[in-house]
Amino acid sequence: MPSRAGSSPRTLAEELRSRDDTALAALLRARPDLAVPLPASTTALATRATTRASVQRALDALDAPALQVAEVLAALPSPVTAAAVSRAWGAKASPQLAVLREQALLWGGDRRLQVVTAVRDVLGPHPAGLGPPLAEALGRRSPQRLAELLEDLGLPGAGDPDRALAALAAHLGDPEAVAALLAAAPEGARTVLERLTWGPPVGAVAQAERSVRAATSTGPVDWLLAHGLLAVAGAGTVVLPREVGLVLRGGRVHREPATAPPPLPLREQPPARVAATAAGAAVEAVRLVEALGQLWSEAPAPVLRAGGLGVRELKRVALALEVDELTTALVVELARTAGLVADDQEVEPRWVPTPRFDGWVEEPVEERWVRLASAWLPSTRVAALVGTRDAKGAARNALGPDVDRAAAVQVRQRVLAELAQLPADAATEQAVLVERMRFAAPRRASRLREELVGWTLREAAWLGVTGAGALSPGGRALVAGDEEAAAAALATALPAPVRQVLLQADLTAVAPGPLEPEPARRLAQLATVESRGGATVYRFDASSVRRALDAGSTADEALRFLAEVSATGVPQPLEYLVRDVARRYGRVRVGSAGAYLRAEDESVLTELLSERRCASLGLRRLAPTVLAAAAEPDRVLAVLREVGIAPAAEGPDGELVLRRATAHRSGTRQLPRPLPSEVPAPTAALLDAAVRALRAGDEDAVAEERRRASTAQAPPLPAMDPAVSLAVLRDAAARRRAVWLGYADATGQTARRLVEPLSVEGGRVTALDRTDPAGAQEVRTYSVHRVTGVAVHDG
Amino acid sequence: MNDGPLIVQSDKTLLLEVDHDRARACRAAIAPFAELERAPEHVHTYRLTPLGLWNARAAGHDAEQVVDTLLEFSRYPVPHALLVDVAETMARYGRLQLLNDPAHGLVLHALDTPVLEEVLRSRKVAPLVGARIAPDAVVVHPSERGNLKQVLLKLGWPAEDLAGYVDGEAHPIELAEDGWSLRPYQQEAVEGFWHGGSGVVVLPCGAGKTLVGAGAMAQAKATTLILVTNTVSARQWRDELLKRTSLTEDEIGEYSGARKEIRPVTIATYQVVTTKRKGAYPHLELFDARDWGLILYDEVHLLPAPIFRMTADLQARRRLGLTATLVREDGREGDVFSLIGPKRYDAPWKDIEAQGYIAPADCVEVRVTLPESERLLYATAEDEDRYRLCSTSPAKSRVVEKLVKQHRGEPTLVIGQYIDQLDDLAERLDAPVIKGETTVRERQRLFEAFRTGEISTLVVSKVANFSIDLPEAKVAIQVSGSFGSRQEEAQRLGRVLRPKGDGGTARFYTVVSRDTKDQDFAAHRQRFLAEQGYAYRIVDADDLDHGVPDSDGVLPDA
Repeated sequence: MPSRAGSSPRTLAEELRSRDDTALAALLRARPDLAVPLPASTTALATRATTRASVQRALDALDAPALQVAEVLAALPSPVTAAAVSRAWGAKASPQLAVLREQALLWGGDRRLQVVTAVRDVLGPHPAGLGPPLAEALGRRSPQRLAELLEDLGLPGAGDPDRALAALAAHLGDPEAVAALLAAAPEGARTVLERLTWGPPVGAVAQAERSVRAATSTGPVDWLLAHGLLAVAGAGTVVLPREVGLVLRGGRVHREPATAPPPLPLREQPPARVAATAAGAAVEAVRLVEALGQLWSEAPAPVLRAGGLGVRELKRVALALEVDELTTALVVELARTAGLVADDQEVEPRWVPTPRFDGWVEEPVEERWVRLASAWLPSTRVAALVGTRDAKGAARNALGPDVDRAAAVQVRQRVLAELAQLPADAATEQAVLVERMRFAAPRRASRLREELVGWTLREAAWLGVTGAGALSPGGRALVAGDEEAAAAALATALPAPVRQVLLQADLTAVAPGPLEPEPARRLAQLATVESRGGATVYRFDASSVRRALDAGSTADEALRFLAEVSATGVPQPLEYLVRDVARRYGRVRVGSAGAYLRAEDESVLTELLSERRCASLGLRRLAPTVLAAAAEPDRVLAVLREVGIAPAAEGPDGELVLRRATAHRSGTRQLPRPLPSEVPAPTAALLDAAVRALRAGDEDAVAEERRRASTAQAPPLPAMDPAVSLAVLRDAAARRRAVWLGYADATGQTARRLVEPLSVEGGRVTALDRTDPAGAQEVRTYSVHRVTGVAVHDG
Repeated sequence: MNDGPLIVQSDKTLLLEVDHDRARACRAAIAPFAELERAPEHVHTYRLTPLGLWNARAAGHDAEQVVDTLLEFSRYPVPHALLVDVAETMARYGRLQLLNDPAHGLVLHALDTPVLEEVLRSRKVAPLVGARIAPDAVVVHPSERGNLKQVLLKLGWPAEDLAGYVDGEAHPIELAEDGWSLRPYQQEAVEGFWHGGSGVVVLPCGAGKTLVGAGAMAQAKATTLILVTNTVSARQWRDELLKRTSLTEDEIGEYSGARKEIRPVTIATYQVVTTKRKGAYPHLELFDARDWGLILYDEVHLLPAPIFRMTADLQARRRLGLTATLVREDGREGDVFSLIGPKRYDAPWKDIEAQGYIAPADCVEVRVTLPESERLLYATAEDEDRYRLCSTSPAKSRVVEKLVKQHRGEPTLVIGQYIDQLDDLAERLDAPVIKGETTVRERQRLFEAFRTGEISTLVVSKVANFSIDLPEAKVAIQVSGSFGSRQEEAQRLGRVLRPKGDGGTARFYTVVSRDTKDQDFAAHRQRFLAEQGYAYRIVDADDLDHGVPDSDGVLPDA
């Protein structure tokens, strides 16, 4: 926003007030935290925009060039000209200055740029690794030593310390003067300076505070101190003053202005491979989530008291799904994020599928995938953290409260956006993605974020959002927000489903592609899956056939199904197996009345009686064909199966009971919400409302000020820079004077308090509140960043 | 989408659809690096294992070829992680090399110094190596060459053995190819072995492994030590060598329990070599008795542990292993790889059958329902007796009688585990029986009589499991076996797979007691048959009255 020449505003609030609506909206869009809750007026807005917390947030979001320019501004004294900033940065800084101005981190005309004080605070005492200014660095010296310094530098004596400091700063900020000094420096002095030049500007020396004179200096450090090229920072430390540092850096604040991010290298993949590989991964991910739901449907997993899924339970799931624990963590997290499993919130809570799961299972694969992938996109859950240890050394649990990371969403969105801007079927390198992310928000860079890049890529590949490292067509559509197109893209890449399998004499069946759901379900009942991938290999054995019989199928039905589904007929050994198991099926019947075993066949019971593995059941013979068991029927059944007999459970009326596991469901549940990280970006309507509210607030404020002005008691309270307010408050505390305090409460409402400040410390004002006209007084504490203005009370 | 014959599964199995147009090309391409696990009728299963991939590396294939092959023939996209894994596994072979250094003798040399650092840190490697002579090389004592290779394989960094071989004492040996010659695959096997230096040749039973051995000897032209499983097998090797090579009786020695001759070509049995007396092996001298130029191991999959240990000391000599299967029931495939050498040649059973070199076989399982009284006996028996009980049921003997009657006149072997049962069968069938106590002379007489057709039925115990050569056995009836041994099944099947004079189909019966342990073990063995591509059928003993139909369902003439 170019400022109008000649009409340089006096405060940030004033500048904000003069902005047009679009510019105000732009500010609120760039710093959404300023709009929540709605500020009452531009004054309140300015106050909030200059608080440390908000400025920190804004700086965190800046990219490398804008942050560097902010550092330049922090390093140079205010006000400063735009040209000086560009010079000190080493590149044309006007675009970055415009960004900083738009975000209210900077105000004033191009010739009088003022950086918001909080920016200096947040960037710390050493912006870009530069030390404190000379005036501050040498300010600790006594007037006598300042005079000595002037003398040693061959400068005329100055009357008072302030003028002495000004003269020193002017001299040592001059490159030629510094060059001349260095030319005469003793050996080693330059090395000392070089070490401090690019920061950190502080070095440790013994007895830094001793008095040194040019004539009597012994070492290089002494010499530098005696000539003001180093200043004393503390008992054992010296610091390179900012002006000197800048001269040594050749007038630049940074080595190199970071103007453009490193380009992404391209790794082209063969066209069909990306879509096909991603499709394979997508199908597998969907299958695993479904398998998890089926597993918990039959045997729900307990919820830990602290929430989450225990390590042993996770291992059990991993075993059942036949994947590693890392993948398992991803599966359970994804299933919950997509609302397919949830805590049933019973007295003893368990993880169970939700009603939503039943609907999901019925949908076609591509739709199911879209549901998973679009739940993953905004999720803050980081499955890769499962199993790692927190600060206290406790392992983080899957589905637990400790694996939410706000950064996950930001990193994921950025990584996917980067991939989306590559040409189709092109992959890139993780290291460059990490570098570019650091460029986009240097202050946010952290180990977690860098690891998140790798984790995001891994999860994306696992989920089929990418294939062979490149964004898949489906993934691309999803990132663009088009779920329908994403489903369609995946559907075209899926291998055509097959209806027939190859049955073989070694009692295996091979489905040479994804099997249609109905035959797949029936086959999975009759046989055990032995190998998965593009194809599925099933193996038939006595126990798998028995399982099908348990589920109510008959031998004839099973064989009819096999004949129908087989491309090559039913091999004789397989037919024999099915008939043989059916022949033996139900030969032994087990009752629940205390548990009894009866069989038409005496010898079977005799065999059981002498079977060592049955000893624990407490069997005894009641009749030639009936045994009684001490154990519960379930246990009896289990042991008998182990022994290799196919027992059938018998109901009270003597009929066979089909034993099928009940399917557990939770109640209807809300989708879990991702962790609120950033304040959500405001919508256009909200922005519009906010700007209008600000304007209205300003008018009210003006009216209010006028009204207040008419009463003697309450003076007008113009919005003040917090630095100014702070100074007034400190002064009032020192002199025990009462002041009027404009104060914004948590909802953004401003109120006036008549207070007597007692102390000002750590960003807080403790004061005696005398506002109550009735005369009641109380001591309260106010946050300085909420103080909108201060006026001395005349009374 | 690619319409290839191969499906790559995420568990590293490869499914090959055999009826596909490109199946043959695909099989040829994947055979060098994937192990054939099962070969039933429609879809063959291969598996990618580290050993298989290292075998391929040893044979000169690289990871790129493997990956390209998978991508070329695969119907569906190959999981990326699997390709990465293949490349990484293959890259591990040969990063360490055993070399002969002119100055220091045998050294372990690393192409990649960090790998050397890693393995030297292992406590198992430290005692096997000497001084570090360079950042990338360390001295190895020649006697530890084999042990080191074993340990390195276990650490996952198999060394490439380039240290070469001693020539051994020269001895002229020629093949006497009068009226016969090596079959093409035998020739290829010999060449594959010779170029590799040492290693294993895998050929099905009956495919003429002895001739591959003879070919290798003719190639080496040096004194040879042949290790075989038992005395009968030793005699057969001897006879075969006399017939097929220029060797004379004086040149071939037998080193067995009965005789201890050491000649330029010496045939010893595993049993005598591994006999232990007072905690020591008295026959170890055999290995040092001559400067052997070649050591032959028959039936490598049965090689007993002590021989592995002895072999570890013989790494400077050329070694050839012969076997029908690399599968070892004890899982020591890695020791075969590191001590004998990588697989140098392998031909699928069915391929050789298709070329007419071994006979096709029709496998039938006959299920016998035990009578009530026997079932009761079985039910009340102790666990350890049950298997014997159900295996030796008299009901089985009656079935065997019927089967032998059906095949009257055809050379028939009845094979069993339990001597009582065999004696009983011999009596019922009026046939001679060969068991452990039968003298070698008597055995050879009976074999000869069987060969000439003088007797048509022979009852044999497990002593005949290995290396007996019965050219015209057309029917084998297995009444009992050692539990579920797949190896034994292969051997027994081998008995009937020698090519028949009339080119007819051999019949392989297994008689099994229904609903007993016998049936469970039989299932395990049959799985092996089916996996080798032999369709098998199951018939009920009660349906035998009209004979067992052939594989097309035609009943024998009444």
